[in-house]
Parts: sequence; C-alpha cells; structure tokens
Amino acid sequence: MALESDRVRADVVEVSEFPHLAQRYHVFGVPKVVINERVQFEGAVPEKVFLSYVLQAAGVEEA
Amino acid sequence: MRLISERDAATLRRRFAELTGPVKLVMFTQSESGLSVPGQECAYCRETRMLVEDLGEVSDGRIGVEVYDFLVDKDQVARYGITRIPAVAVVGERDYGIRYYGIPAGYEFASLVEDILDVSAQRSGLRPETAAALRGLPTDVHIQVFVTPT
Repeated sequence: MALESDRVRADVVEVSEFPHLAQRYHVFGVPKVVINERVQFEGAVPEKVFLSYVLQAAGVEEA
Repeated sequence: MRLISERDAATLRRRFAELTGPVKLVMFTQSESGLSVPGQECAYCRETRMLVEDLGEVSDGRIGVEVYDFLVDKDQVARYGITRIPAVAVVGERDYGIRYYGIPAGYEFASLVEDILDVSAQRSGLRPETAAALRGLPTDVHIQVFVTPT
C-alpha cells in the first residue's frame, strides 16, 4: 500500500528487539497492525478488509 | 554469504536476476566503536548489516546498499525519518516509505524479498480498486505491522 500511495508509509517492526513497543501496543505472539495509532487488528486479513481499516484510520469510512 | 545459506542464496540469485528497476537498501546502524550510549544499544545491528550486504552481493549489485550511522549521519536519519535501529529502508525510484525495524529474519525476510522485487518493478500487486482508493486518501496513513519472532 505504501508503494501505491505517497500518503501511505509502512513499518514492519520486530518487537522482541523493542520490548517497550510490544508493551505499548499489546503485541503477544500474533502479528498486530496499528494504523495511525487509532485502528488496530491482529492476524492476516483479506485485502478488502485491510483497505477498510486504512480508510477508517484516514477518516474516510466509519468503523 | 555470511548469513544467507548457500541454498537460499541460489534461489535468491535467480529471483534477483529479474530485477530491472532501481532498488536499494538504506540501512541505519550504530558504529562498533565500543562507545556505549545508554538506551541506544543495538542488539542486532551487526547481523542486520551483514544480511543487507549479503543481499547486495547475492543480487550481483542490482540491490544497492547504503549503510549509515544513526548517531553520526543525522541528515540521512532525518531524510528517511528513522526512529530506532537497526532500520532498513527499501527505496526504489523514489522513497515509498517502506521501513523494517529490527533484524528482518524468519518470515519477515520473505516479506523483505517480496518488497525488494515489488519496489524494483514499481508494482504493488494490489487490485485496481484498492489502488484507486489509496490514491484518493485525504490524509497521511502510517501503517505499523508488529511481528514477533517465528
């Protein structure tokens, strides 16, 4: 998604090296995605669902 | 190859032979001068740097490699918006804002390889509807994917 849009940037963070982040975002064993510090979900989701979360975080869609 | 196995290297060599567009890995680490700054220790910096350099080598130089020091190269740190180390930015014809924080090992390594290929080809692999929706975004979006070691 970061590739597709100049407005989107994406970080992949390995939390065992940054334990304060695992604590801050409550990451336990399952990959967790946090968008604009507001929207979050765990595990893999279909592209449409991921986009929906991005649009919610951007204020385009209602939760 | 220091971190990548010979078998993996053979597979990667084949895949990276397809790279046509520009791609580079811009890595941020901490110099091994022995100077320890409290709170700035970097557990996997050396391994991450070796991995990045291995990728440059296995691609016969098609993947560019730049290594900067988080404390010394402040201009580059600001330019790429790096907040912690080790950090790797996957940069193509331009900077799309793709960052890996922490050593990209295990499942993340596969993800990094795919990103390198996609960035070089300037191809996101997303559906046209998704791409259109993303280009119409009214605000900036910061996606953070937190992963745990496999």
